[in-house]
Amino acid sequence: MAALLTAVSSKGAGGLAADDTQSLADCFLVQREALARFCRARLGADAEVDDLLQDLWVKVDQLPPDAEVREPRAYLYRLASNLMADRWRSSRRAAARDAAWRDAAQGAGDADDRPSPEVEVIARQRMARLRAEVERLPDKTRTIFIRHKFDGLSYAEVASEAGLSKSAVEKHMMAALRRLARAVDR
Amino acid sequence: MTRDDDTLIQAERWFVALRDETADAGAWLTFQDWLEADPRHAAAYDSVEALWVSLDEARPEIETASIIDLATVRARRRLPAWIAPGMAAAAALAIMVGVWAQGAGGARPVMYATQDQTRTLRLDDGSVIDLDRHSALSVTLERGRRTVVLTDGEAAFDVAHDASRPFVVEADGRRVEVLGTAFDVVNHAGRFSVGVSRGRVSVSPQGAPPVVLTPGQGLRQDDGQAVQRTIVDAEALTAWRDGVMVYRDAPIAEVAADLSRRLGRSVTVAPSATSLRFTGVLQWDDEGTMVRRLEDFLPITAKDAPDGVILTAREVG
Repeated sequence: MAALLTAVSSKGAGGLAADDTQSLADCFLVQREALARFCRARLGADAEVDDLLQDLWVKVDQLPPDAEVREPRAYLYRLASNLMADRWRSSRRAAARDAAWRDAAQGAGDADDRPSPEVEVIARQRMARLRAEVERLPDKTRTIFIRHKFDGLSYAEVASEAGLSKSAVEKHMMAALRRLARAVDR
Repeated sequence: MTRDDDTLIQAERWFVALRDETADAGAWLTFQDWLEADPRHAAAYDSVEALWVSLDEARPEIETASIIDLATVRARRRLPAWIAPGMAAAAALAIMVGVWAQGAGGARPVMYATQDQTRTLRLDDGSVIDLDRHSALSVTLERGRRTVVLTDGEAAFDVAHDASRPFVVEADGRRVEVLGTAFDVVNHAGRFSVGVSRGRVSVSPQGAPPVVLTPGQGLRQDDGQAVQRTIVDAEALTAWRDGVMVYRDAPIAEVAADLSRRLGRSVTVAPSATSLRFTGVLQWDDEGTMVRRLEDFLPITAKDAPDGVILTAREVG
């Protein structure tokens, strides 16, 4: 992983001058175009990123003015990334809401109206495979994965708790993710 | 190893690396370079991120024997700044477990209340609270903790991970403590219930030991009654946020109580109808429409009452 990170990019807009003293809001205004480019790199060159940047601005604006943020630029990229991850959550909520509707209204309405139950069965099987694979992870990997993913500990906290280096923790996370991806890749 | 596998593994490496909250701007820009190098890279990264989100629901069950004591876990992490160094570990633990001493920041609570509409609150820490109709709560965000007092009604919580400050919901002497999770709490007319959709919470009922709940698990305690463990459907639990109420074999009294609370009107059940149970979905609408829908589903008639309706068994002619 170190190899991927040492090749520092010189193509990023605005260079990498230190900007720790800039407020997050000011940083956002300066970096807006760069953040737009980042969002398009994730979502596709034609993607509509204005709404996303607006949501990002709302999040930044809501922070208390004296909130201290180390590395405001990195923080903004992370916030943008979290917003993009949220779209998976909304579409999952919508799909689950439809499933709840179908579950509760069993027997009501025409058979033709209801979508095939196979899609739901497949989703349930997928979740069952994921759960089973989490159980099958080697003990140390499993503990590290659970502490970070579900208990919200940072890599530094997990490393300290497990008596390992941060890069060892990342290797365990990598191993866990690889196995989980393979478990549902059929 | 195929080229696709290779790309996927690279995407996984990036995903894991960027989960490090100390990653600097250079790391994000190098990641951007990788994304822009080939359209397949973004697609691969999407699939890793989607997998990560879907794993929210894959937390393994905690066996009773190995329930992690949340208080002990918190004590191992960094302590709030106002705890003086050298303070005995036991004393520090007692402070963190029990009722917190006077809040460190002196932050003031912010009150929220709803009438006929639900409301979504986005907190400064990134958490989202959906407040049901005719509900009220207060929010206090301080440096070492985040506290919500649910004075009345129902709220669904989507709590942002922040290991340095536990998120606590209080409801008439009970506590729900979370680390980063999604759950629903009801506190109304003597009824208290909690259901968990994602993550894990610790619930301290009145006069009973704390209970840890995982996704799909719930707890209910009516005033003066024993604690009941329940099974909840993670999505049905909070479907009310989308104007949909899902019931599976629920006693009609529960449906009536929910309608009553959300309408701010009296919806009661006559003795002749109390044994009825309801399975179905109620779309939120005006009172008349929802009551008529219930009459379609169940053998009941709604009779007028002061300030509301009484659901009575339909007479068979």
